[in-house]
Amino acid sequence: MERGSGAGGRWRGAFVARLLAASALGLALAPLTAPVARAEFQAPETFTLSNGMEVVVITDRRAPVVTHMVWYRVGSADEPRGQSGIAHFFEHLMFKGTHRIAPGEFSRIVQRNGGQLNAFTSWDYTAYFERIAKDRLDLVMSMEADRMRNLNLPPELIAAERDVIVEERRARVDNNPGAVLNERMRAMLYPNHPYGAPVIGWLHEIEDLERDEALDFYRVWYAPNNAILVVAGDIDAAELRPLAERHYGRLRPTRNLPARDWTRAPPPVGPMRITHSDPKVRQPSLQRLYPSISYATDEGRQAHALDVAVEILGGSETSRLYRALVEEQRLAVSAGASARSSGLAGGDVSLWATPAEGVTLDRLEAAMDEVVARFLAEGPTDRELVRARSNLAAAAIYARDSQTALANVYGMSLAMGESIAEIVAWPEDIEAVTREEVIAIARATLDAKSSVTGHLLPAEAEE
Amino acid sequence: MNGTGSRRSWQGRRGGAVYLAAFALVLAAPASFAPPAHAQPREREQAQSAQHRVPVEEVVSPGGVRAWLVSDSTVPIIQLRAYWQGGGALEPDEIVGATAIMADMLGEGAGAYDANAFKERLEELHVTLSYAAGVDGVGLSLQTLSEHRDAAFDLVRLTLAEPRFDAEPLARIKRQVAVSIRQRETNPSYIANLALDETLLGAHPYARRVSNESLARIDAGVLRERRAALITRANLRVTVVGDIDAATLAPLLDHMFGVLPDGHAMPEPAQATPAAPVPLIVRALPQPQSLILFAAPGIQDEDPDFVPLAVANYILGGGGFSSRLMDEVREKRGLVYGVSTGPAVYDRVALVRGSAQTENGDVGEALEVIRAELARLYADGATQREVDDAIAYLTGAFALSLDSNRNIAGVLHGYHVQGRGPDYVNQRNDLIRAVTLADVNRVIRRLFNPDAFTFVVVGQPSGLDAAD
Repeated sequence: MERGSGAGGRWRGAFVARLLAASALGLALAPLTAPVARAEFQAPETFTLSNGMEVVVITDRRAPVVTHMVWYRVGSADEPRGQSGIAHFFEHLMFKGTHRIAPGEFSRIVQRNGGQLNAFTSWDYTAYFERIAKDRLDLVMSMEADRMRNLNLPPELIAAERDVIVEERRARVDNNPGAVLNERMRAMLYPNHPYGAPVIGWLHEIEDLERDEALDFYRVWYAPNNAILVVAGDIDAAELRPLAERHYGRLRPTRNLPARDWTRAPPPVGPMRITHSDPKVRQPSLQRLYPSISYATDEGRQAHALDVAVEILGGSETSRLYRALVEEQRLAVSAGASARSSGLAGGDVSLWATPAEGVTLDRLEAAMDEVVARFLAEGPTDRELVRARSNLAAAAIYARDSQTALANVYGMSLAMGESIAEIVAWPEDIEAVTREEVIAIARATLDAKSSVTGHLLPAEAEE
Repeated sequence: MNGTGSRRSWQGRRGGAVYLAAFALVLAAPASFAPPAHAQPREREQAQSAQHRVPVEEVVSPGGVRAWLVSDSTVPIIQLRAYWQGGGALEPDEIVGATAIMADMLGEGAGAYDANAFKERLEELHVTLSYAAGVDGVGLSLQTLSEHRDAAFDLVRLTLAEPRFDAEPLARIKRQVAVSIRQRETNPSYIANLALDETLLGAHPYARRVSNESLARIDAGVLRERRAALITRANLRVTVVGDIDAATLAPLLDHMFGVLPDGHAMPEPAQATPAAPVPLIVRALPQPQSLILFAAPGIQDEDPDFVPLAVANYILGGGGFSSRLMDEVREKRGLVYGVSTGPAVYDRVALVRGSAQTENGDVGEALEVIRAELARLYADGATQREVDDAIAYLTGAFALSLDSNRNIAGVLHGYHVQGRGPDYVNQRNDLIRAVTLADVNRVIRRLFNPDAFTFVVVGQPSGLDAAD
């Protein structure tokens, strides 16, 4: 039960993981992936069940195993006010049993059959998966379908699971001053918007979550017409269809699914700043957030251009930020940028740097601003543009090596309202991004007026 | 040994916590109810995946370089892994950290390419190429599209034949290490692992860490000396998976690795014998949740009990959502998000280790429950049902780790580095299936004695007496 933020361009899990490992301020993320190849890339098979459940089949015959995922179009952004964390809490409760499966047996049965399983929650989606031998697919489909509608939550199990989540929060956030700062920065970046609350929830609200609230949430959102089934591996649509119809096709849909129209943030009023001090901090660090468009909210190739722009600005050790701050000016020991371009209601761009010994955050921030200003004024060089585009597109080819990576990409993108055609065309669209598109989206996004800047400091230090 | 990495984890960059589950993928675990009727019939059968086989060839180049190969052209990608036995544990005390920096520097320019030009070249070819060192060895990991195979292999050759060790990237890496030396002061995983290593391994090289003093002594000359000593053909193991066949690979092995001197097998570091256990060590760190690590002497992977240990460990704390510790500490009491155990094997010492994280106020209870579960397993042994479940999982799930070229390369190269034969990957499930309840209980008596464990707590635990 992992919590995800759905970071990065859609094909780029490995890359994002690298960034987060390097950044003290990164949030935990869902296991995404890397990309697709041009002509060789084949669209997966798809069909829709009569109750509205979408199905995607990605065939890979190399090993007799499958990855079975169910994605729900509901996440922490859909939580009622005051109940932050309930989407993720509910994700944990989905392992507590149904009228057919005793509490805790769900995991035990899957593992006893040689399978692995987990689940993850983001602001925009919640997903459950099992990886298992193909001849056990029928078993996990029956169990996954069962818990979509027939959960049975013994009240006495609720308190212990809530305690587990509190420990999960402490491990991920409260023990980590950088994560604490990041959480507050997001609250400032998204005032009055559900993206401003952490996916795992605020501690005091997690502690008050109740069984009945969780069940209300479940009954509305966990339904076949709000779900996407993705199966990847040693199977094709002809084999899968009868299984999908038998297990999922009979489930009743939710009538009148609520619209996912979330409260919006007020317009920005100028640069916002925040500092956080903690005795555990031994080396200060700097993070900057900007709100951005996403694949779900953009027009044309804006999100593609944003991924390319951020790759050039801070996506690797050949990027503008790393070269200028770490190598040339020696003001930092690490520096970079990443785009979370996947959100249903928009994305965000993060810039970050850790100063070298003796360098103040103010000095480092001024140098970072200069790199950004120069990039916005000049735009990328031709060589930077070609390298960033083709490197992003290549990630799609590497993703073909992993059934789980492909299942994640299709599941997440469809949950965000994109079409199969858009996903398949992604590498080509990335390669088509122009210099002008990069400059335009970079200028629109990297605007100090809408930004939030965070300084993480040792307890006793003053800036 | 955390901080330099073990031979099982050298893919990680320096400083990574090794087996600590900071982000354990952890789920719900089960109580003991009868499974639903629909799940039962299959359990006596084996999952189809348990029979999955991986065709491993041994390739010998004209020049005598050997490699394991799994040739599969389904996706246009090639994975290459290489390992040189002999790592950070062999470096003198004065230059601790030199081998790790040497490995990093092999990716910072070669031949005509300075560090930036080299990284740009990798990006233009969409190639991932990195070196990393652990206490026992140095590893190379390469991923390339087939269309860029020759150019990628040229770059490997270049890093081995003409590394640059330029002053500028070396100074940058030393600045980065200097900052990491400061940051680790408040890193709970670093603190806990160091306390364990110092307690159990004393003055053994495995318990050393890079320091500001040793860092100051590391220069290009030191790096060249380490490279000359360690990166030779004598101690090399190569594994290749993907879109290439044996006939094509053989001459390319010479092209890449033929440039290395023959060298000679490295002397191994001294055998480390874990010291007497210390029941509880507490290290103060201001944070709301404590980290608990525990460890006891283990066994090497060539020990006949190593396979039964996999089954015993699954039952105790290695079974994801289905282990005794997960049941008792997480499911029943909600004390932790994750708790897990596992063997940790280095060339010259082996341990059984575990970890958990819990609120400062609950550390006492968590320790009590973990110790009680160890004691119960030690006194009463496992059950046949537990052994059957563990074998069903371990054999059925093995194919899940063989579902992509990248995963196959990881698993296979791990066996190669351990010194297994090329067909071990296809024998492994039979070995697991042959484990009996008596084997498991023997291993439990041998390795899970609760009194053999040293516990370390990092945080602000309340109500604990470090001397108890």
